[in-house]
Amino acid sequence: MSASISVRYELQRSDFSLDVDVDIPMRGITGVFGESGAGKTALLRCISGLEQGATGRLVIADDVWQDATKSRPVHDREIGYVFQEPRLFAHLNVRQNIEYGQRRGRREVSQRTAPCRKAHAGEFVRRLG
Amino acid sequence: MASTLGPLLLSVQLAALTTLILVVLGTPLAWWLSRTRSRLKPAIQAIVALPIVLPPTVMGFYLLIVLGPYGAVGRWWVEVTGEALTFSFSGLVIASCFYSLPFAVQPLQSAFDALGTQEVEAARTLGASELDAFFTIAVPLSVPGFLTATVLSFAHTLGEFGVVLMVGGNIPGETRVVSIAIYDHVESLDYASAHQMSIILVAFAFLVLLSMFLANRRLERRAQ
Repeated sequence: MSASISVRYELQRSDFSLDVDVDIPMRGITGVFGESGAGKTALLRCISGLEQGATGRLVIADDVWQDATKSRPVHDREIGYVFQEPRLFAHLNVRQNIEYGQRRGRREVSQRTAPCRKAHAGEFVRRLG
Repeated sequence: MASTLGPLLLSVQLAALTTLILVVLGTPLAWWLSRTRSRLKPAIQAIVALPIVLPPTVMGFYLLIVLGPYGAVGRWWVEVTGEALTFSFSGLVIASCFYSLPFAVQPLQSAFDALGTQEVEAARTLGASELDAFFTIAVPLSVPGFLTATVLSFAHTLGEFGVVLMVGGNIPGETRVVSIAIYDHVESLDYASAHQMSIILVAFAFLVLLSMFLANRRLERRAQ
């Protein structure tokens, strides 16, 4: 059996309720589609840990990230989240915006690749002019 | 001149210390008010806003009772420090913190409300802890709010009269702040001294407010 992401979430809001129970394979690309208001964003927010009212269970390749007793905080979930709308930090310049996430990158990975990624950010900003 | 400068310096000291305490304690309170969905929120907001509505004499009266040597806080203070809290500079600082609380909390809360959740959420998904995201994202993006809170708390404490009169009295070097000193001079028909202090206070207050609005305009321009 290959590794999978097991997602089970319930979320109640006054005008909306989310009820998901799904296993997602940990390879390739998985698309989530549905009508506007169906809960696509709510599901992603649950998985990333941003939705605080959500209860359920999230298991990433046998690693339990969330269940009834615990919930891994947002910044400890190794997830890259591209939001629907731009969320740039207005008080930082382009390079600082890019470096914000790099500096806080997951420890093991970031130590190995930090110098090279730092160079890339600089190169990237230079190319943009 | 010393008798003019003394009360002025005392007022500035009181206002500076009160502002510092209020920004430090008011920031977490404002952040909580801005983020919470608790049912207690309206009640807490009403309590925070009370000093705007209440006559300073009412606040001063209750503070006098609580901070006095027979009040809950006052008795404890006497046991710990051996000194009475009323008619002392420390008592004035505590009273001023209550008196100016809304002027620190409300601008901060407005700034945090206007900020919304987007940037902080983005920072969290980039690996920033709650505290990290607060200090590196929420605070820098709310600088105008912090500026307003600082200046208003400072200016409001500087103009404090009723509460000081009730809790602090008129002890030179300890509780004789500039507003009390001016009142005292007028009472004793020493208009020359009253003029001198008043005009300094007017000029100072104007300069403080002017620099706040100038700084706010610069911040707005930079944001555009």
